[in-house]
Amino acid sequence: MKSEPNISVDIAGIKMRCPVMVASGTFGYGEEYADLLDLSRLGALVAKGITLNPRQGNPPPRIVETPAGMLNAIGWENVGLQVFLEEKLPFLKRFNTPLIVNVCGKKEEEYVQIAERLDDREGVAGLELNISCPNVRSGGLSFGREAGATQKLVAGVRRVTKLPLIVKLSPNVTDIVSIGRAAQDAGADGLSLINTLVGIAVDIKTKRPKLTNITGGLSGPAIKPVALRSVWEVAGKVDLPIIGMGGIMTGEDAVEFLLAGATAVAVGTANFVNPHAALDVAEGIREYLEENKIQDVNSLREYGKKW
Amino acid sequence: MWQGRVKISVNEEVAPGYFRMVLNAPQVAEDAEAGQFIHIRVNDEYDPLLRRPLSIHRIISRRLKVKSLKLPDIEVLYEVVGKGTKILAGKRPGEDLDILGPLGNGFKLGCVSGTVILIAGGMGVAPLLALAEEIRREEKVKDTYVIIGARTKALVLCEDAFRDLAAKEVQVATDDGSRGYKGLATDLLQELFSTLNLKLSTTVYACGPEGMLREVAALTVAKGVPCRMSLENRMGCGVGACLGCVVRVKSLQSGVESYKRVCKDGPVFEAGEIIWE
Ligand SMILES: Cc1cc2nc3c(=O)[nH]c(=O)nc-3n(C[C@H](O)[C@H](O)[C@H](O)COP(=O)(O)OP(=O)(O)OC[C@H]3O[C@@H](n4cnc5c(N)ncnc54)[C@H](O)[C@@H]3O)c2cc1C
Ligand SMILES: Cc1cc2nc3c(=O)[nH]c(=O)nc-3n(C[C@H](O)[C@H](O)[C@H](O)COP(=O)(O)O)c2cc1C
Ligand code: FES
Repeated sequence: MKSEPNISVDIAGIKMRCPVMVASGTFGYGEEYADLLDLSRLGALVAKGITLNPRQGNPPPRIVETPAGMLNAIGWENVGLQVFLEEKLPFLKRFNTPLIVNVCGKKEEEYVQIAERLDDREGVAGLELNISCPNVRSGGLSFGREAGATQKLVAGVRRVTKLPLIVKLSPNVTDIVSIGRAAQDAGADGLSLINTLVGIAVDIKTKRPKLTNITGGLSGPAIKPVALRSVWEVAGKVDLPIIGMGGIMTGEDAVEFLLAGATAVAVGTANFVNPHAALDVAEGIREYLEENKIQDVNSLREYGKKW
Repeated sequence: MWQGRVKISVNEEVAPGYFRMVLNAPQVAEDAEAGQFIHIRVNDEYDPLLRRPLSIHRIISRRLKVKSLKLPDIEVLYEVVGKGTKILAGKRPGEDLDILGPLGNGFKLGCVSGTVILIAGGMGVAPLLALAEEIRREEKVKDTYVIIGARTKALVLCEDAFRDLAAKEVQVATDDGSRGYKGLATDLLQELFSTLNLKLSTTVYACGPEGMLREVAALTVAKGVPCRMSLENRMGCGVGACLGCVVRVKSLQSGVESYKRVCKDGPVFEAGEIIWE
């Protein structure tokens, strides 16, 4: 008798029915997509990044399409922690899917205060610290660019929370491994990578950048090779489970990440193209395992270590 | 809201560079309202990557051969302006298309009555024709005026269709004067305002290029005439998740400024709430 392959994974203590989550900022607070797919079939849901106070974000245009990708400069527009807790969390709690809250801030105190208030919240399975958002001029990225600052921030948050703590890394750094190590030394339980790559698109008619913010974060299939390289490098050198992301559109793409060393994957921009993408990706992984007679998805990440 | 593949039954050029496409999509047509849109994936490649939004132009009913069943279809009207619309124009009847919709909030006729003015610039006729169909069913609306602006005679769309929908008057403005008035559609609006008693219930609905909408907003706000307009910002998800499509607005009630999502909170807005950048 043929047995179903195991596709469940454990990331930093968060148990997921399948290794596919939706990436922060690409799935709102879940409500927007609830009509189109069953949220309780996702591996996990990562909410849109929240800050302590509501933020309005950048002036439009905020997005522009590029070859096999897009640039975004949303600029942290979000409802703020209070409204998130009162209005968004109750909806998300209805689904039997782990919720990971993506946390952004300008100062260490902001991250710490948010982490404190989320620590004992029912319905929050883990925190993802966004130390890598490229769209806000001060803050954000400055933490994720430098190992010392990363370590200090993560240690500060670690002190106030027992929740699984995932640190999201930026590819816009000279040495992503050193940042991953710093997060590990400070007590992180897992790593997410990658966030978007900083880029520019120019309108040659107006001779101006297409985004009001000038720069934006590149996502989508165009960044997949860079994301895979980052995952492989970090997986080989840092002993933490990795959530791999960047341009995943299909099950095959996801399998590439799992082979490179990721324990789970996140689907971002693909949600805009195909609202069903995360579930299709999960199904694609399962089919791959069956076709290749692999019993457990967790065995894939061993391959990258031998490359 | 529904997503899936539907069959194209018509895709024809109705004017140079302008196409009409009919989609067998009862799942979408059934709850669609004027002002809402569908988000189309033009191919299965990664270039172009994102979906393209097109307004619901008409809901037409298709008679089935079996029994005497009828199903509603969606008709869209589009202009070829770039990569995505060029690919759409190359589709043949019988091919499939991946669509998502209906999306956004429609014009919301509410308790409209008295005089209604529809003003369309270029492709702006697309959602306004669907609206004209809905207005025809509103018993309290006495007179409907339609103003269509276009670059040139060949690009004046839907003039007859609006007439057939019992518009009291359809006026046309072209940039080159090849049909109707030579000049801007907004000149005609200004003139129409001067002939109407604006103290009686009057509502304006507008769709078109940003320059025209700005002018319509200025004119209607100055006269205190309620006006709703449909915006066409660049979109990502189309469902309210990415916050990529926002427009700056000032609440008519509280005066508070914020960003609203064109895809989810719009695409139809009150003219007076939009802050033009
Ligand atoms: C709610 C909504 C309803 C719409 N309804 C219709 C409709 O019924 N019929 C119709 O013809 N069009 C409609 N549009 C516009 C249509 O979506 C765009 O023309 C189309 O997406 C262009 O795709 P493309 O790949 O052909 O052009 P692209 O190659 O993407 O773009 C061509 C050029 O136009 C610019 N551009 C593209 N989209 C926009 C935009 N939204 N704002 C400013 N510049 C832009 C690009 O920067 C580029 O210079 C609607 C848009 C919205 C948001
Ligand atoms: C519109 C948009 C908004 C995003 N917002 C956030 C955010 O708030 N926090 C965050 O950590 N990452 C954010 N990201 C980054 C994604 O979570 C993801 O890391 C990145 O897009 C790469 O994956 P993809 O190529 O599958 O989209 C955003 C991405 C996009 C496209
Ligand atoms: S297009 Fe994504 S929020 Fe409007």
